Amino acid sequence: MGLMTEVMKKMREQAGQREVRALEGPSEDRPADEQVGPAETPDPRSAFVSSDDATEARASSGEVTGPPAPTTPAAPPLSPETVVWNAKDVDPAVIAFHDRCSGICEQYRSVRARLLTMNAAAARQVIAITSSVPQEGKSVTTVNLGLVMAEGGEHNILIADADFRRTSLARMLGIKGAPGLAELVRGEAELSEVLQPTPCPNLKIIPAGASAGKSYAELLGGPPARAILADFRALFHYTFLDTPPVTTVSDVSMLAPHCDGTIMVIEMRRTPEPTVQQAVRTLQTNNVKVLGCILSRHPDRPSRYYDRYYYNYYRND
Amino acid sequence: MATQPDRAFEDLRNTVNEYARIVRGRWRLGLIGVGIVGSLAFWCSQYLPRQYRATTLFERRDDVVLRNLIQRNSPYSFDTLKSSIAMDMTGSRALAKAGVQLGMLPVEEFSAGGPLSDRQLRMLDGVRGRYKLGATIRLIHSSPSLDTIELCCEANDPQVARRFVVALRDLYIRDTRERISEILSGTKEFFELEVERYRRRAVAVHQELRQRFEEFPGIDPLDPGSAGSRLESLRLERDRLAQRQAELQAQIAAREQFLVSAPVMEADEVEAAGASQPPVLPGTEAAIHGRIAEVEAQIAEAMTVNRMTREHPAVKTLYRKLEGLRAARRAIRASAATTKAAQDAPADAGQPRAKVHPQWYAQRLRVELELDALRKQLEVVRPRCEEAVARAQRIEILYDELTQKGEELHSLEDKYTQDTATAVAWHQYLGQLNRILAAESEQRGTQFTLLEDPKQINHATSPRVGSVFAVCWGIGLAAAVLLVALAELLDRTFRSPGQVTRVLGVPVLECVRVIPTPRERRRRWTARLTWTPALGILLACLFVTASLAYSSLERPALHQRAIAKLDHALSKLGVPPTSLAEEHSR
Repeated sequence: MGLMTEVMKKMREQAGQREVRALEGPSEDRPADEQVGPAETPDPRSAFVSSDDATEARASSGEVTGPPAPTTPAAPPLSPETVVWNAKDVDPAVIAFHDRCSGICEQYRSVRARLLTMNAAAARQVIAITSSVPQEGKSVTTVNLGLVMAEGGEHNILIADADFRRTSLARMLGIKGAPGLAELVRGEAELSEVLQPTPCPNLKIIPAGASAGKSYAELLGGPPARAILADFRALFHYTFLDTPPVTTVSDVSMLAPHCDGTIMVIEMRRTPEPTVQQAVRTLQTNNVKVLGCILSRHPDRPSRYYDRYYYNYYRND
Repeated sequence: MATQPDRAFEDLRNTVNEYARIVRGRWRLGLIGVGIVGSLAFWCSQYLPRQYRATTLFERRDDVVLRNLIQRNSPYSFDTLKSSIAMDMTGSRALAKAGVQLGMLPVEEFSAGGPLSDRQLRMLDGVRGRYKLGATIRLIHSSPSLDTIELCCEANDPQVARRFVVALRDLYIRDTRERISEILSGTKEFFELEVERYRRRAVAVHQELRQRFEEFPGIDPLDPGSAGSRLESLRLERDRLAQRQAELQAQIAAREQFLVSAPVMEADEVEAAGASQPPVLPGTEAAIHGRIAEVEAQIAEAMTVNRMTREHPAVKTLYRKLEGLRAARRAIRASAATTKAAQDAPADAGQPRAKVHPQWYAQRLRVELELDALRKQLEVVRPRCEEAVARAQRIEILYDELTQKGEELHSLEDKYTQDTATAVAWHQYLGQLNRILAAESEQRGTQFTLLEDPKQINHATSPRVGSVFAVCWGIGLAAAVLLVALAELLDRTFRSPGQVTRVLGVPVLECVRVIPTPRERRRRWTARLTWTPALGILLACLFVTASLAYSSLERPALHQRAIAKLDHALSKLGVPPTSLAEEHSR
């Protein structure tokens, strides 16, 4: 811990007080499951863990993962409100919440590192996460990636469910589904009303909401949607939109051009090549920048050594 | 910058990794292919026609006598039989005879001898095709008088192969013995005729050679010296007899002259007798007695020293001479008795007697008796002399012929000798032949010794277990490889990050493994619970079918029992039984 403390001191000197507070681990011994409602001193790391293993999360707090983040411009103040998710309500696929020491979670961290590296200018970005066919793991990827991106607390992260046809974020996280993005686009609700807190103060979630009979293309392709995306950019460093599949519906074609990039989720050994090619061509035709692909359900068996290594590494910390 | 070998090694490593990835990803499919196709292959291998081989080993030894009797180029000689043994044992005729003996072919169709007709050949081919019958022969050891023969018979039925090889062997041995017996029987008659013929020829030559010399025993027709000696002895005998005859004739003539002149001389002689007494003749009797003793000594010498019989002409002559002398002595004694009686008679007994001097009278009587004896001797000597002359003349002729026809007689002698020797040789052959024919029928002629009987056949010779297993495993592995290759070829999904980058041209941010959610665990367990029994059943099927294939080749009895149990189990389940039992029964 001595070397880590020295690194943190240097970073504190360089990045200022806010970032230093965000990088520092929790100092109090209060259990996470007792944190209901707004917290004065939010502990994003402890908020990720469920109430069942809050003690274990406290023991492993204070770590620094991933590559050093570039200096980001100061974001507007967000509501520091946090909630504690019940582990039973959160989908087991949200691995970044249930077992952040796992190798899979580390793979999401690797994605975060790639995104940060690619965004060397530290520009605020709205990234649509899509796939070519349904059930490829978009929502899981969005949630896990958002949770991992929020680690450290130096970035404000937003996860928005833009798939009005099959809303899944609210179901996965056990949160209320409305009001959401649909109401926000229609102007029926304010942004502050639709932002839902998470255990991490710098991570907010906007569920899909109810479409109320309007066409999805109309909702996503209109000027209100573009204005809302601008608001997202102003408030959050990274906004991840969980969008419908490209080849199934055209919603993403309406929305993605207004985003800063798109990440394709491809399920290995399931999605045919031509379908993915068609989806990518569709996106490129609509001037959508494809940042890269995340291959889900990779069949290679993980090395037990590395899994154990990650687990013990985090536990020791 | 990577060098060429490094790139090649890198390509090789990538290729190997790619194959390893395929194997890791498709091993279940490969196992399915191996299991299903391999099981099918093993099962189908049980329907492959089996070939069973039965082998017998026997020895064929040439008989020494028969080797001398039968010419080397004879169709029944050992060499000829050796060269034709393959045809004799494995030819169509032999197979047909064996088929008839085993009841596979109708007897009435094959009762006739000679080459097989088209109909018979078709029937034989039917049997061959039905049993996949084939016979081969191999000379393991071959020498001029001993062959070790291995006869192999292959069929799709072990019992048929075994029975066929025994039938072929026994038929060959029996036929060979029958042929040898026929040869021996015919040869015996021929030998007897030859012996008789040569004997007759020898007798004829002998008669032709000897008939002229039959009256001259001891003469060798081919030896002129002996004939000359005999001729000389005959001439001497002839001359002696002629001399004797002349002597007798002279003595007779002398005595006849005496008697003729006797009446004139009587008075003179009587007067002279009164004046001087005539001499008594005791000296004459003594001389005859001496002669008799001399002749008896000669006879004794001839019969003892010279070992002549009484039939010998010289001995006979001596005996006749002895008889003559004895007769003369008796006559002298009788004359002497008569003279004495006349002297003792009274004076008035007769006038004439008184006129003749008794001594004179006795002299005259003695001469008459001598004359009579000489005449008798002459009567004996004269025919003997004539006979001796005739014999001398005949032997002279024979001697001349012998000297003139010497070559011809020699050739006759040679012919006689040759015929006699040939007859003796044939007689010897005949004796050997009789010895062979007197032996047991199994020991006649070419002798056979059974070295190894065909054993109980336990496993098929074709197909072989190794081949079947190699082919079946090969088919299974090929099917597995084909299935995996097809699956890999038809699979259009993304299987590696490199493929995504190559196809889409976008970077891969990360490969996220399967998240172990409870649902995923359930799915995995479901898959395991599905795949494990399925693959286990497949492997069990593979093992069972492989075991059946092995047992069908190496343990037919065990295989039949297993199939019977399998059919029984299938019948209980309502499934039609396998046709393997029918295959076995067929």
